Amino acid sequence: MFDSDGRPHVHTRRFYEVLERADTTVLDNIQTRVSRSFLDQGISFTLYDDKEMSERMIPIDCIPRIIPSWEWNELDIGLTQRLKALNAFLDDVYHEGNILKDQVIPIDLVRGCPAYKVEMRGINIPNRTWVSICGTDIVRTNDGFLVLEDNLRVPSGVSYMIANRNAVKAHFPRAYRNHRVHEVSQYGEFLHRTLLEMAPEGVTNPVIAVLTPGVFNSAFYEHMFLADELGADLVEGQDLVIKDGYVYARTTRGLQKIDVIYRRVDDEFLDPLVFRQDSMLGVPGLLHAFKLGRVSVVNAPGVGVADDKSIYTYVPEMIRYYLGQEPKLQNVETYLCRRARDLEYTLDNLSKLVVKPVGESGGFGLTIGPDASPAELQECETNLRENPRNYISQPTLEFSKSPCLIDSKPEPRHVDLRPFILHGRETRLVPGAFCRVALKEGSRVVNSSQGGGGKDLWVLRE
Amino acid sequence: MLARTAFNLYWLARYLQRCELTARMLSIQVETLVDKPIAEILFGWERLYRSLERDIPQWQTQDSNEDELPSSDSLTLCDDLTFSTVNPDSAWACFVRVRENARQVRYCITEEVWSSINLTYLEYRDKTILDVWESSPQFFYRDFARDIQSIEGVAEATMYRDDGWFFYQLGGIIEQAQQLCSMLLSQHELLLSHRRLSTSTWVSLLRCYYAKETYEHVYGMTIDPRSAFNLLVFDSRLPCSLNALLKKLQATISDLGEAPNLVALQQIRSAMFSLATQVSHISSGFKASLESLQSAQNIFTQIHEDIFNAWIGYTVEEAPVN
Repeated sequence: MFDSDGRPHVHTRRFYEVLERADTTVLDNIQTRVSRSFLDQGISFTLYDDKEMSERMIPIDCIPRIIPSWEWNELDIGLTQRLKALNAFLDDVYHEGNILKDQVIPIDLVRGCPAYKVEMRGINIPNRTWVSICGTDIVRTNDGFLVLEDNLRVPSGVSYMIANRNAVKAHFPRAYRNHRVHEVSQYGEFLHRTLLEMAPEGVTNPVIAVLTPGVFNSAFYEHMFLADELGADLVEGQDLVIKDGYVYARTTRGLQKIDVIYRRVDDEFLDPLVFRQDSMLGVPGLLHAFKLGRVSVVNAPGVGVADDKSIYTYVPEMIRYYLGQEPKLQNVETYLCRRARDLEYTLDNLSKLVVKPVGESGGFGLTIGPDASPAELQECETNLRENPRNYISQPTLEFSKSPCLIDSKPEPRHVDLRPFILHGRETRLVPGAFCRVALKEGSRVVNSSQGGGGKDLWVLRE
Repeated sequence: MLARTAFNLYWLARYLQRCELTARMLSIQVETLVDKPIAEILFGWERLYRSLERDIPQWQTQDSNEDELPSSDSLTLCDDLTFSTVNPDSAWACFVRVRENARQVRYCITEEVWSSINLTYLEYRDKTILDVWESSPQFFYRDFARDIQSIEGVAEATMYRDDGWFFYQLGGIIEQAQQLCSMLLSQHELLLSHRRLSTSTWVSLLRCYYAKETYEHVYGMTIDPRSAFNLLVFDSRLPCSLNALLKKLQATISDLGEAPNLVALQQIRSAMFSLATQVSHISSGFKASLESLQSAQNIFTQIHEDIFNAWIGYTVEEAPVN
């Protein structure tokens, strides 16, 4: 909201005045009502701890983050470019593997990645779109926007983008109108059109279903929300059967053919005949139907190889290789600890770096050097020496903060944003994002499973 | 509609009904604690527990003065039927399952139905029996029952009449019918040893089914057990009479039309025919009434299973492909 001199940016000045005019009681009331609206609507996520699961509300901050249209346009162009390159990469590594033959990316890095699925080799995907829904995590630093990671497997959070918007605009109606904010409510329609474009060849009126692991999954609310937005059934593995190579849902009228599955189940659990045999969440024979081209699974299994934290380092190279362009959005400088010199640098600078295990997500397994205790640093060093291939490191970023209402007054907190990019035959991007906040003072971890919250992102019209 | 979703809606309605009836019966039962004779209070508890097919928890009254009913006993029983997590049929345990079922099918029910359920859940989730007991328990139960009735009203007013609605209807009908049979059987059996309580217990039973005022309009102010029984069983103008429920069941099954498992559907149709016969036999003498009621209850249980077999748990091989 503020520039380096502590003055509000031009595009945030008007909202800053709203905050200045409002007394703390008014803001407190708004914050309470916004939080209460989430509770009343049962907008929740499920958190697993050691012994049990509990239904939690994601904390939402009522003060929106605001960005001008020209900044969004930059993001739009960069994200579209990035997803195009990632799809080209996936189609390549599961077919000819030219990028590997040309040694742009080390072959062992790709083929040795646990998310690389041999079973997907040679499969032709509609429109060559392996990733139809991408949630890219972005932070802003003094050097501009940087991509933290591309979430390609089952990116979540879009329901909160819409829920945050509905809650915040209802409580700042005048400010919302005066700011001329881009809507985000068209996401459902965009997603629907994207999934229709992903239908198997020759299917004219495709039937879509959203595949969920079930009510105990942490993102179940979102799965339900998406099914509602799409007017589709929310199916579990037990609801689907394979018959004559086609996928059917068990309905009250018999078997209903399903053409497009928007899956929110991880690769490993999708099909017990191919992946984990003990999976109760998947559909036996699903991959076979997929290979026959009788059903589309979105995002395609095996896309995780492109959002692996080691492969992430090479996304700028992918953009140059496939598109012949310079990346519009930059990566965070990353050290691959599998390389001897990167490992040495990481070990020498452990207290300044963030060390991430390549196979984890949700902020788990991170060591944030400046915040870590000597014992934690020692443990991290031991892990790095034992299995360097499992880690990357990055500089600790000074990324942007946004005011959040903490104890009745606006306090700066670190924020990132996760826009959702859709691609079937064409790319669609709703001007908005799930904006995540590290609500703990000084924290840089924005993940909801680790004390993070959310806030609305207002993208202003020109 | 997805078969599993339909079954969720079926159970949502069943638990909602179970919860409402328990709250309503408790509301009437705790009123008796204020000024009714001990024998009538005990009769009420026993009838309630029998109808739920649950053993009455051990209490102290058997060893104490018959003229004094320790309020702690009633509190224990109320807790068991209201908040107990051990008792799967306690009102709150049922309501939690209502919400769980609703959570799973949120995209198939209206926003208004979900909100009503969730807001009711939030309002009552932190309450304990001591909170209830320290104020006026009858008001608590009355309000709780009323909130559940509001949910049912919102569902009636807003839900689209598709398969989901029909399964929601079926769940409610089967639950109400089984409960009514069970309640009438309990009433009959208990009256064998408590004949002098007859009139007052019929009054409370009529109240449980919103039928006391109707009874007075139709039969006058004097409570006659046979007339009360007839009203609850035969009078299809009373929405929760056995006959009205049977008619609703027939209409809903007819609205649903064909099922993937035609054999099970045929069994349901036969069972409904058989039910109509049983209900018509209920009035032919006391002993026959009891047998017919028991038989009707069993048929409802069989229909419950056949609904599952016909539309939900059918085998893939026999199912039509759409």
